[in-house]
Amino acid sequence: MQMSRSKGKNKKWLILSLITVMCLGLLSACGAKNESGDNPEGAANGGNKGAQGNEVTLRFMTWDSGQTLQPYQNAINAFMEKHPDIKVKVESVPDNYDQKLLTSLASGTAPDVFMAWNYPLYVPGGALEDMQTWVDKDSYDLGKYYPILMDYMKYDEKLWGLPTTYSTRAIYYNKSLFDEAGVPYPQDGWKWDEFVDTVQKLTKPGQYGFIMTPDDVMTMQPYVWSNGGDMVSDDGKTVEGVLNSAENIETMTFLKQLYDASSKINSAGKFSTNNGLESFLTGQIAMFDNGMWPLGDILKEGKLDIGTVTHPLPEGGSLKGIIHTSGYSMPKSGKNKEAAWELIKFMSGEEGIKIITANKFAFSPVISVDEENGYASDPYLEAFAKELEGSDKLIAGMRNESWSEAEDMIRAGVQAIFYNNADIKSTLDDAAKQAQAVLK
Amino acid sequence: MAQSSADQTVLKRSFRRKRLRENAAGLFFISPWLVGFLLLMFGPMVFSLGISFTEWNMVGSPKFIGVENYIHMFTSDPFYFKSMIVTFKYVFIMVPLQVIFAVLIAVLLNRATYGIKFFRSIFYLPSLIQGVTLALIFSWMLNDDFGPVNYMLELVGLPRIHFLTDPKVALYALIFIALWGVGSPMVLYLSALRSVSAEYYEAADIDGAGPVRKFFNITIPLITPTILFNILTSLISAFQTIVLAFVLTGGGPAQSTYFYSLHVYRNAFTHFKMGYASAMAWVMFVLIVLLTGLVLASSKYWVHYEDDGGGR
Repeated sequence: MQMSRSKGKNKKWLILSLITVMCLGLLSACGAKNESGDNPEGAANGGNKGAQGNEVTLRFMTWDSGQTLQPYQNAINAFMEKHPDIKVKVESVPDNYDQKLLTSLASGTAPDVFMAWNYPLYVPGGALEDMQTWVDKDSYDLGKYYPILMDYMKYDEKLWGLPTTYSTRAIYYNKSLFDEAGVPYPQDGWKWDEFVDTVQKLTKPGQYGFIMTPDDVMTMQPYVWSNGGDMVSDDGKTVEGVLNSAENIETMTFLKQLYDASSKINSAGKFSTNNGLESFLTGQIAMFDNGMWPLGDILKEGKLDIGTVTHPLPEGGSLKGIIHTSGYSMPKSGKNKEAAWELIKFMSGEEGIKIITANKFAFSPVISVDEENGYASDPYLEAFAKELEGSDKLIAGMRNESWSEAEDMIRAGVQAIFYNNADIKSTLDDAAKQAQAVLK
Repeated sequence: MAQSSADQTVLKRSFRRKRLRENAAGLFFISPWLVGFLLLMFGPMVFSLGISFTEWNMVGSPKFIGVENYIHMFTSDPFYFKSMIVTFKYVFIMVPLQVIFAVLIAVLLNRATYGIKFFRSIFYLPSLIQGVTLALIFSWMLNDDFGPVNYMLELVGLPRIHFLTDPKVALYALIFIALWGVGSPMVLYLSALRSVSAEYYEAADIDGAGPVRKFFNITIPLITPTILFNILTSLISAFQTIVLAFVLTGGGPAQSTYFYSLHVYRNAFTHFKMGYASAMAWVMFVLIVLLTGLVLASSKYWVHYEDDGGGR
């Protein structure tokens, strides 16, 4: 009796410890796997260098993936052909790019070359390589780029990257929906009133003339600028008195009209700059505001008969387009900076940019290539090109590192105006005060 | 006398040893979790507590600013209390509803004379779909223009509801979607109901108690331990809810679904204010601990354990 009981107990303990050991084994197995997953990469990097003397493998990180990655991949392939001793490994990170980049910069594992746009966010940590030193060393000619684009490569009066491509934004319209409603197509230089009127005429059950959402504060800037206003002072420090200016009250009144005239869609707070692409493609929206990126696909599919037109203007206002662009940068801690600089020069220079911007993929930051491509006279791209001409402003996000937080305050204000018909002047006053507190 | 006291010490000692052994067994059983916690979570938790007293954007070194983050939270962040209120609303509507629905379904299923296995699976199956998948399914189900729910509303002559795009409705839509997972607690209640002895009901029958009386005086008290467990786990997870709002509404429209967790996320990964985000996370942690403690403390007044008749 006694014997058997203690035996039973022993058995229980045996099983218990077995289970524990197994579980622990699982844990450690996971850990080991991760480590061994990382190792070959490092080994390969080091090994390459060792074995073939001077062969270098560069890591290149981009947010593009799939179809939008292809043009860049083409250029990289051309680069590798030209430089047989440099290998480029592309790392595509379509989601949480900033997060990934910042983590890798912080931990010293950043890729040798990466795409970047949010310099106010990356620069203050001191992890980025000052690009000016490389430009000076090579006497690289920056004069070949559009000056306004170079402003986007700078923060704190220093140069942090060389431009990749750029796109402005314009209004796409669905011609068949216009024909159906008997409304004439919009013409460049049209006015705000006409826009509201057109939106009204094209809005009916199941169809919206335009989607104006309060969530996308960034793309409201062309309207704000063309009416002579701004969201923050040029130095990025003052919001009070700038955001709540008399001009901006006019602009906000217009945007509210636009919202009321069309969808009244509360696009559920997904702060996306692609808002409405799907709905536009399915013919639910007659007009929508976007960069040139979807154009190629729309034309290739050929299902929609579309046109493009510049942003409408206020009485007496002038066109001031918004620019989407990014740069190639490298980390201060990079180990292959020479090779990285070669890659950046190639990608941002005439040779690479010609490959990347082929087939109307994007505009070229190099003026001569842009002219050679001739996109400015393309019927679909003309509007986008015109938007660049008058553009002389940096987006607010490029002027202050805390802008994304300030923008949250402004967004909440715009939401109150749009959804709850809040008084425009006092709401902008409050939002300006709150945003000012964030920027300090 | 001496004999008995010696007996007692022996008894006590053996009891203590038994107690120790029982504890060791328990610790042994949860050791994978403990080891995982110590290895994977404890470090980052301590780190985040430290970071919460700094200003840090992930690159560069953190700058010590004392309790400034905590002060900012309560004095000058216009979204802090807004997000807190949204979260409290969600928790205090969602958790009770979940308990009520789970109990009701379990009671109904328990009365079924045949097909219980079938229906149990039917009611449990939905809760297997969770997180992003659930959110994506409902983003189509509740779609303003194409969604089957709105289509059916229209069929019966009701106006369309902008479930996820009307600031007045969105939060309730999310609560409704979250209740989709009612199947998991339901299964727990079902097994709790199974273990309620039929003798109680027979005795109550003899005393002439009606079904309502029996439900409230026998069934409910006897499953209160399960209710307590359910409330605790849902309370903790509901305070941290993020997935549905993150995928479906992004906190909108007009911040009507801007949960505390989203505010933390946004500060951490959009504004890259890691220090502030950590501080907020810690406040939420303390809040959850307090509320959990409150529920546990209250449990002695309403939770009945069958073995000792009263609370513990």
